[in-house]
Order: sequence, then C-alpha cells, then structure tokens
Amino acid sequence: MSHQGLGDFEQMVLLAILHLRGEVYGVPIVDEIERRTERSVSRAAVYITLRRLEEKGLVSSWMSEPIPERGGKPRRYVRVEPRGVVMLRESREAVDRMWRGLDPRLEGIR
Amino acid sequence: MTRPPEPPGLARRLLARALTEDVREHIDGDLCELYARRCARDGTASARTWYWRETASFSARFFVERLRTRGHTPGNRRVGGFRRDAMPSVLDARLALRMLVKYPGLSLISVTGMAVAIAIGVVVFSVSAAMIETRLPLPDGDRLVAMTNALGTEPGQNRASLRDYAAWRSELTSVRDVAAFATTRRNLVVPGTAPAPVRIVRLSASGFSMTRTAPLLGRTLVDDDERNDARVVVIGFEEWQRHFAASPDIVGRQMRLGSEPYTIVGVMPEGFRFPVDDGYWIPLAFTPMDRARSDAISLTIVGRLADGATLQSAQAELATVGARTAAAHPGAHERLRPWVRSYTRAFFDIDNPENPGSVAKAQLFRLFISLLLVVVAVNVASLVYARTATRAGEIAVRTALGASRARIVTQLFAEALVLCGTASVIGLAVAGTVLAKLQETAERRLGELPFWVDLGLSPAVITYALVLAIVGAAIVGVVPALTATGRRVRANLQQLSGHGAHMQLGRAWTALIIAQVSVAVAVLPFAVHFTEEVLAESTRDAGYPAGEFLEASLVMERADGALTCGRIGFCDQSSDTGVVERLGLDQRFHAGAAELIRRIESDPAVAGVTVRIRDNERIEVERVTSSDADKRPISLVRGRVERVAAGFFALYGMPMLAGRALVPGDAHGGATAVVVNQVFAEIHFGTEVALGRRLRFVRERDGAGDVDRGPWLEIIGIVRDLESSAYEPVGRMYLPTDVTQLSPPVALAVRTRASPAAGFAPRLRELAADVDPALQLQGLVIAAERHRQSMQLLRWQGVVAAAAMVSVLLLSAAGIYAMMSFTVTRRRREIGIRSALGADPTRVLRSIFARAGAQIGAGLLVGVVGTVAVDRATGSGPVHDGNPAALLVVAAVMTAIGLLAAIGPARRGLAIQPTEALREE
Repeated sequence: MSHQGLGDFEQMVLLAILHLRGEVYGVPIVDEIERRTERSVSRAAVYITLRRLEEKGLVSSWMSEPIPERGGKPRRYVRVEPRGVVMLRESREAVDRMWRGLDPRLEGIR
Repeated sequence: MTRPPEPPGLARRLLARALTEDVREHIDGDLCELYARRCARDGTASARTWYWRETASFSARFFVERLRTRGHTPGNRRVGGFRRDAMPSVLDARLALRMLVKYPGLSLISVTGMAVAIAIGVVVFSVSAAMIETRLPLPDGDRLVAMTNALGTEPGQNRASLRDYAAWRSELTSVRDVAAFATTRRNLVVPGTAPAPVRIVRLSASGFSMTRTAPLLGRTLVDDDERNDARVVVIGFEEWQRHFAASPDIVGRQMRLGSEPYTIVGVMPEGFRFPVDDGYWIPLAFTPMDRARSDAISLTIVGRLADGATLQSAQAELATVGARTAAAHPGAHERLRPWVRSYTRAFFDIDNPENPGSVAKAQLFRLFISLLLVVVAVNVASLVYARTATRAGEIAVRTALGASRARIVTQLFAEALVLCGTASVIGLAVAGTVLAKLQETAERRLGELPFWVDLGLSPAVITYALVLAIVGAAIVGVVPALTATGRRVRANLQQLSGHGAHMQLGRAWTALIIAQVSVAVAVLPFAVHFTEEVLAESTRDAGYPAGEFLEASLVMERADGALTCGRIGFCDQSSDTGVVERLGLDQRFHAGAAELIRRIESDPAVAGVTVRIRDNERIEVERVTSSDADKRPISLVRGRVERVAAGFFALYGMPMLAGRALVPGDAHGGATAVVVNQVFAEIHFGTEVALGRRLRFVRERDGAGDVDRGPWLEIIGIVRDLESSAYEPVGRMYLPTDVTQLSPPVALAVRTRASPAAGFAPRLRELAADVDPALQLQGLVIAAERHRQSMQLLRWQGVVAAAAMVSVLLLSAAGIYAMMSFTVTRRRREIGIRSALGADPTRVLRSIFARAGAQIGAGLLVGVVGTVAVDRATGSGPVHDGNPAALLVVAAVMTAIGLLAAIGPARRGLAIQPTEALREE
C-alpha cells in the first residue's frame, strides 16, 4: 500500500463522488466540482484522476448497459471504496492538525 | 425523441486514438452526451468548437500521462539512436520559419507545388485504402469473408447458389456462421410521409451471429423466422431514430414494406449497417420450389473465419467441398471454382480469381501517385539546391567553427521539414475538402456507400500525409545538404578567405534543365487543354426549363418468391431483369405505369408527363445511303438508343431541325419510324441529308460472328439534342414507345406548371402509391438539381486540374529560372575576364545565349515530340483536337523564362570591372 497522501485534486474528485451518491459518472463529477469550487476544471484531468484513484484502490467502477441517447455507449459508474474514505479522513486530519493553533481567518498575518 | 447530434467525426476519431482502451468508450459516451446538451443550449457551431477543444485537452493530457507512466525521460546524450546535437531543436524550427519568410517566392512556389502533390497523394491513398481495406468496423471484422464461384468461361462473373449455401454451411469447418443474403427494394410506408423505396436485406439468421453484434432493443432474426417465413423485420438505429422517433416501445409495432405488414422485432445499435449500408433486415426464407431449383437461386454467401483458420486454409477446404459438389452435380458445377476472399475486397471485386493481382495493382497505383510527390520534391530540391549553393560560404564558416556535418544537415532538413510540413497541412486541408465532396458525390450517385467506407481524413491518412512530408523534406533538404557539406566544404573553406565559396555544377545540371523544360512542355499542354474543355463544359445550360421537371426511375418491386437475380457478386434482386418467370409483373407494371401517367396528366399542377427508356448498351447499326443503288448496307456505325413517348420532344422543348416528331401512331404495328439527334446525323451522315435514310440494328448472336438483323427503320426527323454537350457529343436515336406497354425501368419526367417542381414531389409519390403500392419512384429529383450537380462535379474537376496545372507551371518556371540564372551566374567571372581581355560583348553574349538556347531548345524538342507522340497515340490532346495554341504558348513561356533568367546575370557579368573579375580569380 502506498503511504502517499492524497493530492488536492484527488480529494476534490473523491468528495464530489461522495456528495453525489448513487450512480455517479464523469459528467456529474465535473459539474459538481465546478459548482462547489466555482471554477472550471479540466475534464480530462478528472478522468485521469479517476483512473489513478482506481489504480490505488480508492474507488471502484463498473460499466452500465449501452445507452441509446449516448449513441449506444455505456457509462462508467464509480463509487468510493472504504480505503478511499480512510485516506480522505487522514488527509482531512493532517490538514486540521496543521491548522490547529492558527486563526481560521489568518487575521494579522500578511 | 430525436436522434442525438453527432460530434465532429475527425475530432472523435482523433480522440479515440489519443485515449487508452480502458477509458475510450465511456469518455466518448460522456462527451457525446455533453455535446448533445451543448448543441441544444448553444447551437451546433459552438458545440463543435467546444468538442474540438476537449479533444485537444484530452489528447494532450493523456499523452503526458502516458509518458509519465512509462517513465520517459528525454535528455540523454543519444536520443533514439541519434546524436543529440543532430536532433532538430526549437531553434532549428525558428530558423526554418525565418528562411520561409526570407525567400517568399521560393516558399510560395515550393509550398504550392508540394501541397498539390500531397493533396493528390492523400486523395488517392484515401480512396484506394477504402477499397483494399479488409477490416470491417465490427468485432474481429477482418475475419469476415465472402465466398463465390468463379465461372471459367465468363471472366468477372461470379455466382453462388442456394445449393452452395447449403453445402458450405453444413460442410465447412474453417468458416463459421456461414450466412447468406440478397437485397431487394420495397416501398417503406410510414404514416405521415409519402412512400419511398428503401433497400431491404433478406438475411439468414446466422448473419447476425456472424457479425457478433447484439441488438440494442428486442432481438435479431432467428432460425424460426426463416423456417416460418415470418413477416418480421429488424431495423437499424438510424431508421429507428428517423422514422419512429426513437420510440422505446418500438418492438412489436407494425410497419409496411410495400403492400405487406411486418412486425418490428428488434433495433440494431448505431453504426450497424451490414451488409452494405442497410437498415431493414427480413428473414431469408426459401419455398419448396426454391429448394427444387437451388442452382437458379443466387445469393451472396458470407461467413467468419474459424479460430486458427486462414484465408489459405479456408480456400483449400472450400476447393475440396467444391470438388465434391461438382462430382455430384457435374452439369451445373463442373466449371465452377469456389473462392473465398475478404468481405470488403469481395464487395469491390478485388482479389477476384479472374483478375489476379488487383490489390497489387491498386498498391502500385498508389505508389505511382506517391512518386508524383517525389517528382515535385526533386523539382523543389533543385530550387533549394540553388539557394543552398549561395549559402556555401555560411556552411563553410559554421564547419570551421566546429559544427558537425550532422548538425548542418539537420538544420537544412529542419528547414525543408517546415516547408513540407506547411505544404502538408495545406494539402491535407485541400484533400479533406475534395474527399468530402467525393464522398457526397459518391453517395448521391450510388445511392449509398458501404458502411465501412469513410473518405474523411482518418488517422492513417494523416499519417500518410506526414510520411509524404518527411519523404519530401528528405529529398528537398537532405540531398542538397549532403552535397553542400561533402568533400567540397573543405575546398570551399580554403577558397573562403579570398574569393568566396561556391558549389560546382556539371553535366547533371544541364540534364536537369533539359528534363525540366521537356516535362513542362510535354505535360502542360494536355493539362491546359483538358482544363479549358472541362471548365467550358461546366457552364453549359441544361437546354430546357429544368426547374420545372421532376425526374425519377419508375420500377416495380418483385414478389417475395422470386430470388433469382442478375448481379451475383452482391446479389441485388431489384436489378434482376428476369431469368425465371416474371410472375405477371409485366402486365401489372403496364397497367400501373399507364394509369399513373393518366393520373399525373390530369393533375392541374402538371403541364405534361413523358417517359423514356434508356438503352445504355451501345449497339451496332447498319445504314444505307441513297447513292447506293441496291440499298446495300455499307458500314456499321454506333448509336445510343432511347425509346420515348410521343410528345417527348415537345415537352422538353426540343425543336425539330428537319422532318417531324414522333406521334402516337408511330409506336403501333411494326414501328419503323426513328428520330435522330443532330450529333447522330452529323457523325454518321456527314453533310448528306439524313432524313429518309434507313437504318437497322445488328446484334451479335454468339462469339462465332453470327448476327441478328432487325427490320429496316426510316429516319423521319432530326431533333436538336437535349443537354447537347460539346465536350462529349453523343449520337442518339429515338424510337417510339407505347405508354400502355412499358417495361421497367422507365425514366419518368413530369413537367409542372410551377417552378421549382419540388412541391409536386410528395404528390407524385402519393399518386404512385395510390395506383399500386409496388410501384416505386427511385431517385426522384428536380432535373435542375441533377444538372447543377453534374456541372458542379465538372467544375470541381476543372478546378483540381487547374490547381495542378498552375502548380506544375509555377514549379517548372521557377525551376528553369533558378537553374538558368544560377548557371549563368556561375560564369559571371568568366564573362568578366573575357571582357577584360577585350572580347567583343556581342560574342560573349552570343556564347552565353547559345548554351542557354541549346539547353532550352533540347528540352523543347523532347517535350514537343513527346506531346505529339502521345497526342497521336491516344487520338486525343491539344494537337488532335485542333488546339495547338496550348502547346505553342507553353513552349513560348518556357523559352521566355529561360532566356529572361539568362539576361540578368549576363548583363551583370558584362558590367563587371576587369580588375574585379581578376581579383575574384
């Protein structure tokens, strides 16, 4: 198992999946990140991140039946695996520890 | 629900290339989904731009990702086996761009010439690839094969019968899922739209398992459908979207094909158009009568190579099975030789056992066209060589400063690569436009193109263009570079201190000049002549009010039981002109066509209706002349024959030049009247009066020379021809036909009172369906539109020819100018010295021009002799067609360019001061 922590973008993708619940695939994940962060993200980067997360065993995926509205192409649905949840939690805790003792608004710091 | 919009095809293919297999399908689906949303929200143009941006983003990101995961780390001393200093760098590219701008004339000419050559190469590559490609866009599509019998005595005619199908299906082990199909046409009757003929495939159930494609909805055909001759149909994705609004509860619904109701049992996924470009599949059922005469039932038989089998092993097994069949049925099979080949090649009749080596020929042709680029590249190379020669000093200095030969060659190669790369991009853009036009024209002319044929810019085509660019760059850049950096560089270095460096020229240079002039003089007149003719023809008027005419081919669909057909390679029952009984179709057609004509005539929107039956077969005609006392036939002439209804000429507004038009009575009781067009009269009777002359048809009965002679016919009128063409004059004979006794196919023409006639088209279809649901109006089109398309095609040919011609002319002119000018410049010092020694300037000039004149003269001589020889051999060309001006103009232009190129340097040579000339020495 890799002891590497999660990158910012990986965290965003995992959190978007958790927010969406149910049958989650690439299109809504990008929409969710853009909606919540209020900035545009590279769609290609999201798919590459999803693949990387799956290689790390943090998410799993499965293909749907062909969908006529998409020209008969299937969707690849994803869900966060328990290990992904653990990693997210650890990342969050690490950041929290770093923030501890600092003013949340960083008042007085230039 | 409507059909989802399709993203740009090229972008989609590029994207598919860029993505790895594990993510390709769902990312494509996601982007298709988003594309549809964007189309609805922002419009198609904006969505297309967005899709292209996403393609670029995905391609770049996934490329970087691949490099990252492979641990690719550039920066070694040697990269890909090359010294690093010999690898082209960004600086090389910048220098190359600077050279491109610094010599705009050379760049423009070179890029234009190369771009035209690359465009031609790409078009030929794309078309030939579509024909010799063996892969179908189906799972393991390259393992699909077609099986036929070659007939020993009829080259090119292949056949496979129901008996073969039964034998091959049960006995072959190297070919699995053996299936058979035949196509026919039926009127598709969908509520809300006028009936229109569509192609139907009668396909055996095994055909679907062979393609390994599951239905999108419902099921495919099954064996029970065949056994019970069930009235069930599987429809294509596009048909489902277009005619049934992608209804999810389509399965189980009824539709009508001709007069029969069918139940829809399944919908195939998008892109499934097997066997050609089809969207309706019904069971291939056989009656006991069919089985009893199984040799007479022709089919297209296909299958899938079994695991481990090859075409060779399948061929060997098929030959064994064929020998068994021949032994059991010697009468029908004795001379037949079974043959298996790739499905796609069978479609285009490539790899035909009667025509071996057709693939090799196609590849050879492709190679030949690629050589065109080499010829152009050599031309450009000679220009670049002249420029490189002027940089001999720079090259020598760089060598002295420590630049390796590889480094200098690389830089010169980079310059050529930028030049050829620019040409490649322009060539691809031109080829893309031409190919799109070609695809559109082919679809319109043929009705449909095979589903695997896409004449777009595929990744393979783009790769080919890039390879052409690299080959071109190698010729244009490397050859002059190697020459400039060879042994001579040391000598140049030694000379550099006092006299400047230069490259030596020899006999090869003289030969190049002669070759350049002769090729230009030999080729260009033909191109000028052809372009002139085609462009003049493309402005031709239809000759009649084509906007008021609707034209269609009137045919009748065959009864289901009749499975015999004429064309056997890919069996199309609708083209069958009848080998077995016609099941009373003739009578039905006679009555239907006559009634349809009567109803059209009585419609208030119609000014008139007429028919013609084209006999495209050119037949022999005997004629007699009045000067021949015993009326003995004196010669055989050719004519194209059309049978037309009385009133045909009047409806089209074709004036009678002599005699009278055909009248209804001419078609009855041993019809002997014939009207000919002006071209026919002029070709076959010269200045004599054609009116009253007698003709008769002569048909060869068999190969032994026996002929059948028809009754004598008399020319009763001469008519100005319809759409008369000076480019391709066609002599025509018009015979009378009785509209109550018409046989399909009949060309029906309806003249409406209003123009354009398009508004009447749905009404016409309704009338036909009302008279008889089996009556089909195929290829219904406004005559003006058909004429416009023909003219547009000609214009395209003219424009392409003109572009090729201009680029050849420019290249030749520039090449000759550069070479002549360079040759004379090299003699500048000699001219100066001779002047210094007191030579007469006139004599000096004469000696210079004598040499230039001799080189140009030799080139002209070779070129003119070549043109005249080709002209005479082919019976066509500028001289033969009375247009020698093209030849003279080209010869004069080349001479003028060559002499102009010599004048400037010679004058500068004469003006040189003797001391300066001696110092150079």
